[in-house]
Amino acid sequence: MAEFPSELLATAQPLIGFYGLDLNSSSHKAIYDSFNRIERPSIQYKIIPNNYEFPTKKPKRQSFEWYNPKHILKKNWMLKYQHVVPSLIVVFMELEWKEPQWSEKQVQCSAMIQQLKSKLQDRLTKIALVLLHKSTPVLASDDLIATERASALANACEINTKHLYVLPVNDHNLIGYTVRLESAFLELAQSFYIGILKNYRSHPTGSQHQTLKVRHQFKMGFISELRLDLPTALKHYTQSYVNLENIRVVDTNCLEIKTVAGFINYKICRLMFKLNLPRDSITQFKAHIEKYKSRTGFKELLFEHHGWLSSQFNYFGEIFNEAVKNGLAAIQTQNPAIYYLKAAEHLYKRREIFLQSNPYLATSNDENISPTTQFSLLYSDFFGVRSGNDRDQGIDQQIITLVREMEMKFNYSAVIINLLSQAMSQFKIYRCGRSRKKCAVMMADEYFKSGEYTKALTLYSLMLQDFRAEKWYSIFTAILTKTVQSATLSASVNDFVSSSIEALSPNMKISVAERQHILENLWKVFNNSAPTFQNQIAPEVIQLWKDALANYRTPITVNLDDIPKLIDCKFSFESNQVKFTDPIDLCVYLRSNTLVPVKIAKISVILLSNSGSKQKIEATVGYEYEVDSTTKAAKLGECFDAKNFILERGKCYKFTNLIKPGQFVENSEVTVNAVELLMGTEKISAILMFQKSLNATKYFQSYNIHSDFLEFIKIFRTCYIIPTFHLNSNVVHNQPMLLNEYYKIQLNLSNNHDEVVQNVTVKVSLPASYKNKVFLAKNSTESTTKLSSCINFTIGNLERHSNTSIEYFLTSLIEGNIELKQSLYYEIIDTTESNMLSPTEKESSPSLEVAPTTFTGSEEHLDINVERLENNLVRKRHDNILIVPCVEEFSFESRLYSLDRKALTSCYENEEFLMRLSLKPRSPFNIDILDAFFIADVNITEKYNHNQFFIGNDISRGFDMENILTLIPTRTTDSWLTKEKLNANIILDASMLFSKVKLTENELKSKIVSEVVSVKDEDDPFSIKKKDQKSMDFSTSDDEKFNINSTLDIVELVNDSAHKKGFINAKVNVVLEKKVVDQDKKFGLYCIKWRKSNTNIINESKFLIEGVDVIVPLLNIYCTSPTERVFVREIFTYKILLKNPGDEVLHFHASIGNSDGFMLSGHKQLTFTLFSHSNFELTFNLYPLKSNFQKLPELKLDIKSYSEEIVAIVEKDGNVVDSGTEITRKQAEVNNLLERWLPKSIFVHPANRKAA
Amino acid sequence: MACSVAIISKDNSPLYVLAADIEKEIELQYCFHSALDIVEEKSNTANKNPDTRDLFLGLLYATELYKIYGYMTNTKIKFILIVDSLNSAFRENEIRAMFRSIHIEYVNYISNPFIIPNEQIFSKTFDRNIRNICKV
Repeated sequence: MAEFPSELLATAQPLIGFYGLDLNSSSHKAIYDSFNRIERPSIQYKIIPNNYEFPTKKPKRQSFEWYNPKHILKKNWMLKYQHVVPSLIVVFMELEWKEPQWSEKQVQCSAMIQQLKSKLQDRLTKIALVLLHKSTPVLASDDLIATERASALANACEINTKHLYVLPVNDHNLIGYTVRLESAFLELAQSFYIGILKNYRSHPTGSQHQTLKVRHQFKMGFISELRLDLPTALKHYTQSYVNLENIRVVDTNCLEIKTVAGFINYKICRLMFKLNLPRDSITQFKAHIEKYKSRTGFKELLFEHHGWLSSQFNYFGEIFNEAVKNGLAAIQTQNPAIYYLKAAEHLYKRREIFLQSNPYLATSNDENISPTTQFSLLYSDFFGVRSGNDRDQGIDQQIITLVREMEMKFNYSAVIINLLSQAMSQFKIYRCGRSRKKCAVMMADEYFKSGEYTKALTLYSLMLQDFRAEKWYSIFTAILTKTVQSATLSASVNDFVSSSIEALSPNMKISVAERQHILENLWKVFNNSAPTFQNQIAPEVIQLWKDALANYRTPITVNLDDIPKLIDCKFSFESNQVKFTDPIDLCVYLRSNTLVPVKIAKISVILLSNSGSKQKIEATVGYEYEVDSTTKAAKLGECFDAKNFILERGKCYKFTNLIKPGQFVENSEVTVNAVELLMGTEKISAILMFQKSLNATKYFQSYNIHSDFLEFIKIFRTCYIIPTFHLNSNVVHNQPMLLNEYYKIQLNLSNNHDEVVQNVTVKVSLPASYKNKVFLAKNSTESTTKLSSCINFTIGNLERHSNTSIEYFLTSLIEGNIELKQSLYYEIIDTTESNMLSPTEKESSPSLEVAPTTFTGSEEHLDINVERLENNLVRKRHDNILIVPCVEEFSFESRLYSLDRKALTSCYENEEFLMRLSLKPRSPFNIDILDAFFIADVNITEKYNHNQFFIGNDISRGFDMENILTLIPTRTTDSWLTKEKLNANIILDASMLFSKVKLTENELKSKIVSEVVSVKDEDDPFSIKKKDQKSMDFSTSDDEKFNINSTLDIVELVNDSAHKKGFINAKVNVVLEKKVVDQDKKFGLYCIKWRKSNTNIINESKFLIEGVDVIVPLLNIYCTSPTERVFVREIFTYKILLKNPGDEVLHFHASIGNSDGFMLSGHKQLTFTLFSHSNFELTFNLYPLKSNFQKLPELKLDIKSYSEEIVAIVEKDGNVVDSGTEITRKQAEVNNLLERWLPKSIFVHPANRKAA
Repeated sequence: MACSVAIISKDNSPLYVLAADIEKEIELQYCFHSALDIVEEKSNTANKNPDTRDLFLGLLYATELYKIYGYMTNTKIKFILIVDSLNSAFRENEIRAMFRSIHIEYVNYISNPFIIPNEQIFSKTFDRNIRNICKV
């Protein structure tokens, strides 16, 4: 009805007729095809057969004064110019210039053209003649015959010579000729159309010729278009459109006006797009719609008006789309989709209006109308005119009835769906996803209306996802309701169940009654019967449902993650960890938010552990769970069996699951992967599954004063399965540990389980930071003690309910808390069920070696490492850290004094001094000192030791002990003998000996060698011991251990050589030098052997004695006092031995003073010279006069320096002063020495009674 | 004639919808929803600089029944207004003013520490104020 005729839709092209071409001939066909090629200009070619009948030309009117047609456009006019009346007829003739029978042919040709002309009557149609030449032409001007014959032929045929063309057929360049001919033809064709236009312009039209004006302008537009003069065409069409507006619109002519207006508008818009005026085109279209929107025509045919509108939009969409294809850039808000959509919307209105106007009314009185009458009533020669006859009221009514009857047969849905799909594809292009979805929904609605429920369902369910994601619940509800309905009618079990469940969600804007209805239907399906649609059901739908339910197999999984708010679900483990041997307690909280009660068949929980195993557990018991909003106290209602229960709205339920031990491997973390609620019957059921929405927390919840108690449930999302450790261990030791002590630690291991643990190993290790400071030993027996920072004990199998213990020793050189790690290993047969079930899965699972999760909550089970071995064994390791406080055992102090008990800052070679040692026990335990001795340096000799009180004492805190030793240095610091020097000297000596005395006796040689060797041996006194200690083998490779041993070996050295100290003394500093610099003065090492009272572990403490400088004195003074007692009046000899240790010659003037207590004989004054390394003895005989302490006569030594004086005098040099000061210094030193070494007094006994 | 308002969250779910005509609510919702296409397009192509960007997005599209205007805050909350296209009372300036008032209302609402952002708005006061602005 509102469809545009094809001649209108087609692009207007000039029509050129080909006459005399026989398509059966291959050469002619080639010619025709070359004209009709794809990229030809817009020209329409048409073969005109010989018997072609042109329409009879109407007589030309002399005057238009009285001609006033009622209607506007004849239906056949456009067709005539588009398809029937060619603008040019091209006559094809096979005629060569050198044709022998030329004249005959010429006559034949002219006859043909005459015949054509007569057929054309006096139409302006041009005629052109094309001669088809087989030979390649020479230029016509050169060929006289050709020129002559051509003009003759033209004359004969009464055509212009210019309209005579030659087309060489056999030439390869056919297309080139064709193109040239084409432009010539087009020119001729256009001149034809110009002629027609002139003709139309000559028509005088007055003001009364309203319809005629429209018609003329339209025709001129159309002809211009045929002429390919688009701007002119647009001008005429626009004028025509304007003229049309002047016609008064009444109901009777409304359809015609609208139809014609639609045509003209279509042409205008299309031309505007073509002329690249898209905005004008759109504006024109909008204005057009605006203008005619209200022109509805007959009220009874209102639907027809919408049909018209719809087609207007549709065709505009088409041309818009066409323009876009030709390169127009459309935008999101202005694209063809909008027009397609509008077209569809108008179709909706058309249908709606038609259905509203009671369609059944129409069928009442149309029986008496015959088909022919119907035809004559409905069709006429004019566009938009129904009846050719003059109408009266009755006919109008009849027409209306007929039109309505036809409308009933109209398939709206097909058209609407087509339009919508076009709109959808356009919306997609212009990125209007949401508009497209809307179209899709409309399309689904249309499918639903047309009864194609399956298609509707597919579309709906696709759209559901999109709208669900964007939470447009109003729209979503509408779609969902439709989905349920279409699922009902198409008997799709899955979709029905899932969408029905979703419809229960409180987000859906559905009334309670509807929800109940949905629920009822859902349960009907669960109970294996068909649901009802609007409380009724068609029998064929019942049959469909029967089949569908019979074929139904698996339960439908509905993911509740997508349906928020329907049911809240939370889960929590009772605690975040559980022992391997204990059951795991899991709670699930459910709360339904829907208005209708939901019946759940059972609850199951899918647990997943990080070791990769999966278990499905069914809940057993449920409680109603309430929380008092004020006290926040949870209250559990009565317990019920967690099978086939009803979740009521707003109430919260708690379900407990007990998971038996052994379902999951130990040392794994278990979490809930999904909670599944089974709804329905045994045969048909749906699984409501929570996954991501489990334990969903609301943001900003803390602000909410009306807080949701579910939010307050303490949630443990995971549960760690604590591995069992079959070994119990406890450590027995007596804190604190003392420095240098072999501290015994006893580790008791017991297996209290019913299983045999295998390969029990204990590994004790120290942190690296304790290197060379803290050591471990397996035993304390000195000679074989092996020290290391890591020790292993292999215990082997431990039977059930048995125990064992190991001992080891710790020793430290530093104070503080010492940490050591005890690692317990054992292997046991794996009994985990899941492991038995799927061992391969276990192996492949990468999460197996997961680092153990440390839970701070359980100190007892800290760090249990589980490792799975082959043969179904599990190796478990448990580390614990033992901290041992270490305190000082003694505080040791050493001081050096000169013999006259003054603090020593330096001591003199070969002169004695005192060393005072004080020892203060700091230990909280009583300590037995077993031995205490000084290991003197090789350069120091121990003269005397008063340590007898030291040894064998049980001392405790507060008892200080002292030891005084007399030492004598044998070398000065400068000539201090170190290990290296010793070596060097000996080797040097030996080599010298060898070199010098080459031929000496073998004895001597061997002696030296043995000496060297022995020195070498001594040089490294531990080497022999090392050889003894075979157990040292692994420690040698370890630098750390070597050092440790060497330090401690000093002690062993001493122990061994307690009876041969002198020898060992010589070597002590060798060891020390590993740590100290050579120049450092170490006088020796003080060593104390001790043990804690009541224990038998002997420990040794060693203290290093710092020394002072040893220097060479100017003079050694040895005073020999009488060894016997001195009595009054008994003479005794007082000898003073002076020794010059230096290289200098010394001159002395000695004088001895008087003393009251003595009579003295000997040199009172003496001058003597002391050569280097020589002695001089002063001897006095003293005769005591009095008893008691008597002051000895004082010796004075004055240094004389003759030589230097002489030099000074002889040379008269200025060095006199210098030598003088030197003397002064030496004198002071001598005085000092005298002061120190000479006894001041002596005790004189009273006269011996015997003597008396 | 009054107009319909929708406030749409940054992830394009409706926070508040006021339909001037209850009977046409679904249709209006579709309109709001479809308008988001254009809002998205406009906010993507428009000047991205937040300082100079005009919050008012202008006329999104027009059908012969409605004119649909958009407005987007800097936090990508969208306000969409649907007015009757026949009603000449709503010129662009008035629309701008309305959007501004709606924005102020929204800011007032969201300043309440007890509300949960990005959830549907059920506040009666807010509803009343919006209704006043839109003269429903």
